Amino acid sequence: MTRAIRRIYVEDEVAGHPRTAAILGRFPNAEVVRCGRYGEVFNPRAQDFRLQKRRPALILARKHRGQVLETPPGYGIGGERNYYFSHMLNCIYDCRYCFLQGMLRSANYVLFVNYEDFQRQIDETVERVGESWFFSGYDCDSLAFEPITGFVESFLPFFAERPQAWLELRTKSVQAAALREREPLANCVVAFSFTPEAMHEQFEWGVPSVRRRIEVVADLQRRGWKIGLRFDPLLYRESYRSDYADLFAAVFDALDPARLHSISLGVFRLPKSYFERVYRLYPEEPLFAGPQAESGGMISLPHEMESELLGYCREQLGRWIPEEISHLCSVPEAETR
Amino acid sequence: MTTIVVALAAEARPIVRHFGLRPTASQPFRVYQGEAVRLIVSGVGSAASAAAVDHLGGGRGRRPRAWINVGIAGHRDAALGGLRLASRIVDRKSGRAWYPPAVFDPPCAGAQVTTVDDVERELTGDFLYEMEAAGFYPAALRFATAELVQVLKVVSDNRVERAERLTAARVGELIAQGLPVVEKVVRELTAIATALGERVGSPERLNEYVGRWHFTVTQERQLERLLRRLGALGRRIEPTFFDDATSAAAVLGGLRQLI
Ligand code: SF4
Repeated sequence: MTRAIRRIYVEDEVAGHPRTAAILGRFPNAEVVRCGRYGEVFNPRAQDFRLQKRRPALILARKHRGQVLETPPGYGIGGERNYYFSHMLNCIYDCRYCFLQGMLRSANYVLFVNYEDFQRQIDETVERVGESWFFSGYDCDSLAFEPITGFVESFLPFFAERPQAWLELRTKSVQAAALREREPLANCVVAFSFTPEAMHEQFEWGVPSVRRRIEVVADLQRRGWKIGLRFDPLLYRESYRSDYADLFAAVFDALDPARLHSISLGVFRLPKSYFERVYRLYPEEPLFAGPQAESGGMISLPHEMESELLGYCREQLGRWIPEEISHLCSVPEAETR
Repeated sequence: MTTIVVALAAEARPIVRHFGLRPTASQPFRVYQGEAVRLIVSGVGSAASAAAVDHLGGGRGRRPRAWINVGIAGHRDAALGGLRLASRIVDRKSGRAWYPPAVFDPPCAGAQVTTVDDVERELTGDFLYEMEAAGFYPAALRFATAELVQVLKVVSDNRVERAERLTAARVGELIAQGLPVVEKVVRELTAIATALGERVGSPERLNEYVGRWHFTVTQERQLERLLRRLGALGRRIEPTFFDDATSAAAVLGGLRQLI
C-alpha cells in the first residue's frame, strides 16, 4: 500500500527535519512537492475522500499546538486522567465504517514529524497532573505505518523511562516487529480491534485477516506485552450472534483471557454531520442504508437493536472474561474530537 | 464530459483535430464539442481563463465533469516538448497556492506551475511559467471536485530557446507532440467522472414515483434517499407496490416501513 505513494508534500518548516529526510529516503521515486502549511493541501473544500483513497499522497508536517488533548469525561480503560495524541491523520486501511471519512476532507496521510514536541507535551502533562493515560491511534492506526513513521520505535523508549505515563497503541495491523524486538513495557497496552470475519471481509479493506491478527496478538501476549481487545465498532447483521460467537471463540482460544489488560465494546455511532458526509461518499453501502436512529446529534442503530447487540456481546464475553477487565466504551471515538 | 481550456487558437487546433471536435460557438468564446470532450479557447491570461470556465461551468445536470487546462509554459532548462502535470499552482501576484490532487497514475512528471501576468523572461527556479492556471484552477473548482481538475503544460521555451521566437505553427507542433499524454489524462479523468456519476446519479424508479404522486421538493429529496437506501439493501420497490396510496406522504411512510 505504501508503495502506491507517488507524491509527498513537505511543509517548508519541516523540510530540514531529520525525520523528513529519512522518510523521503524511503520513497526515492515519489514526487516531492513543497507546501506552506499542510492545511493548504489537506483542508480545501472541493475534495473527495473516496476518490483520494485510490491514491493517497503523504504530507509531512509539523503539529504546532494541541499535540496532547484531553479525552472527554467517561472515556478510558480504567485510568483517571486520559489524553490522546495523534502523530498522524488518516490510515492506510479503508474501513467502511471509519469515522475519519466523515471528519476529514482529504484521504491524504498527514504525518507530523515533530515527535519531540509531542513528547515534550506528554512530559508537561504528567508533570502537571501526575499519572495519566495517553491514547494513540485515534486519527490513524498506531502501528500500520510503522515501517515509514518509526512512531513506535521512537515512543516506546520514551514511555519506558516514564512509568507514570501509560500508553495505549491501537491497531488493526500486524506490523509488530518494533514490539517483538524489545522487552515488553509495563506501562504500555497494545490494543487490537476486531470485527467478525464476515464483517472484516465486507468492511475492512486492506486490513490483515482476523486469523493473522489473532496470531500476532497471541504472540505478543506470550512475549509478555499487555494486550487490550477492542470490539469496536460492534456491527449488526442478521447473523451477528454466530458472527460474534465465532469471533470470541477464535480470539479466546488463542489468548489467555486471565492475562488480558482490558476489553472494550463500542457500538457503531457517528455524529450526524460525519454520517451525512460518509453517506454521500458511499450511498450504495448497505451499512449506511439500514435502520438508523438519531439522538443527541448522533446516528446509530435504533435503541432496541443496539442494546440487543451489545447485550449479546457482553453476555458472550462474560463466558470468557471477568467483568472487571471489560469496559463499555460509551463515548464513540468520533466524539473525542 | 471533459472540458479542455486552452488560451490560444494555435493550442486548440491539434486538440480539436485529434478528438474530432466540431465548432459550436464563436462568441464570446470559441467552443468546440465532441461526444465526451469539449474545448474552449479562453484567450491569454488568468482572468480570461477563469471567464471561459465560468462560461461553460454553469450547465445543468448533476453528471460530474472534468476540467483540464492545456497550454504552453516556459522553464529554466527543461527540454522543449516535455509535458508536466501541475502538482502545485502558484499565483505570483497574490502568492496563493493550490495543489491539484492526482488520484490516477500520472502519464508524465509533475511540476510547480507559476502563473504570471506577462511573459516571464527570467525563468528562475525549477518552475514552469505560464499565464492561465491560477485563474483556471479556482474557477473550475466551483464546478467540480479537485480530483477532476488538472493543469497540463507543454514546455515551449527555456533560457536557450526563448519565448520571443515562438510562432503559432511551433506552438501547434508542440501541443500535437503532447497529444498522447493529453489523451491519457482525458481518459483517466473521464473514468473518474463516470465513477463519481454513478454515485450521484438518481436512483432507479425515481421518475416513475415523481410522475405518479405530487412530491414537494423536500419530499422528493426524501424519496430519493429512501429509494437509494432500499437499493443499497438490495430492494427494488415498484411504484405499483403503493397502488392504494393517495399521497406522496403515504408513499414515503410506506417506503420508510420497508427499511
Ligand atoms: S483501521 Fe481504524 S483508522 Fe484505519 S481505516 Fe480502519 S477504522 Fe479507520
